[in-house]
Amino acid sequence: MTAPIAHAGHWITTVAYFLPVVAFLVWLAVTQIRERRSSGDDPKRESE
Amino acid sequence: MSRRPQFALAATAALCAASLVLPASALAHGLSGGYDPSRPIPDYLWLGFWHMVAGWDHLLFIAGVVLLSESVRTAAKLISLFAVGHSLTLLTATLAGWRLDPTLVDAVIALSLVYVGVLGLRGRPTNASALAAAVFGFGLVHGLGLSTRLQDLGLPDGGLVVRVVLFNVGVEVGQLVALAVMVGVGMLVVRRLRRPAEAQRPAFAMLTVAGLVAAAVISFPAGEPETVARGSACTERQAQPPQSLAGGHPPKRFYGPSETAPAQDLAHVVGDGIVVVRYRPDLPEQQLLVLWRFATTGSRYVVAAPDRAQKMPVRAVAATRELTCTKVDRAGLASFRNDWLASLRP
Repeated sequence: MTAPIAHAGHWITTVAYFLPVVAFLVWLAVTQIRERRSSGDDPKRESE
Repeated sequence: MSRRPQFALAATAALCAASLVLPASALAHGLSGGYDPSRPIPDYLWLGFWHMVAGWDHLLFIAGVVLLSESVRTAAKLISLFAVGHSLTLLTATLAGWRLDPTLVDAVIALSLVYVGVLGLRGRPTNASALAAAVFGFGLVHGLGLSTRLQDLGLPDGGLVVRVVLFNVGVEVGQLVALAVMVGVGMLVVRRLRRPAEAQRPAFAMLTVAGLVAAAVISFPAGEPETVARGSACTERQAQPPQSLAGGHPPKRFYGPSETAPAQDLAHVVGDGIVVVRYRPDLPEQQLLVLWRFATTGSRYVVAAPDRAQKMPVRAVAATRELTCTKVDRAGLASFRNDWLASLRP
């Protein structure tokens, strides 16, 4: 059986494209959650 | 909210959609299935479709172009130019049998993401013609990448045009489906964002980073490259050394299509450092003649013999390297043999 690392050329480039997208999505999710929490504390917004 | 920012925000979210719907298939980027020129013709449509749908490089570029666009109409124009560009080189390069260095092509494709990313970070481009020309130019390069992958699958001499056209149709259908999903899911995501406009710069930054990292990975691969294009019809890759060194030396340097070469002897001489060329016995007579000349003249360190079981027309085997060719390519075979023999010299 060939070790998976022997085929690194196949997937490592995909990971190079994939990781920044994941990082962006995580950032997007975190900022949204933070904003929702902060707006939840804001009585003005709550009344809206 | 006016139409322009709304569209831009939707485009931002399109990037999210790409990652939400495609993670599993994207890991399988490249074309499913190995070298098999005898696969059914309709399969090429499916292969083209999956290549586009599972191709992060192509999808992120399209997403970047949509992000840069001011309106749906501009996006449609730019994506059409991209499609025309990659179709042109996919068809031309495949039909002409061009095989450019895949590392170079893949690196330029990765840099196309950097281009759209940096352009977006600097603000929307004011020169629409320059952007259109760049998108068309990168489309040409993406098409060369598609052609390389398609040729790796193996294409028979007959019915080449219909296979390439079907593959291209599959690519375009895949692109349309991916775009529809990206924009559709993107719109849904944008509606849930509080300040979607603020996500644009990070999205362009993400594209730039993805392109730079991918270009670096492609340009500086660790260790020996797994496959190397050699000549117009051949690809070289690493191979396992022969397990058994039993047998002796075959008495001939060329075995005809109807002859049977002693398998143990062939394995033995591969272990000795000789290049063994196995070919399909149904090769056209002219190609057989070229192969006969290659094996019987010049270097003594070549033996050629038919292999009824193999799918590829020509396969040259050395102890740790292997060359597969879609036809008898004398230049490719000679280059493989010479480099192999040179690597054995102290």
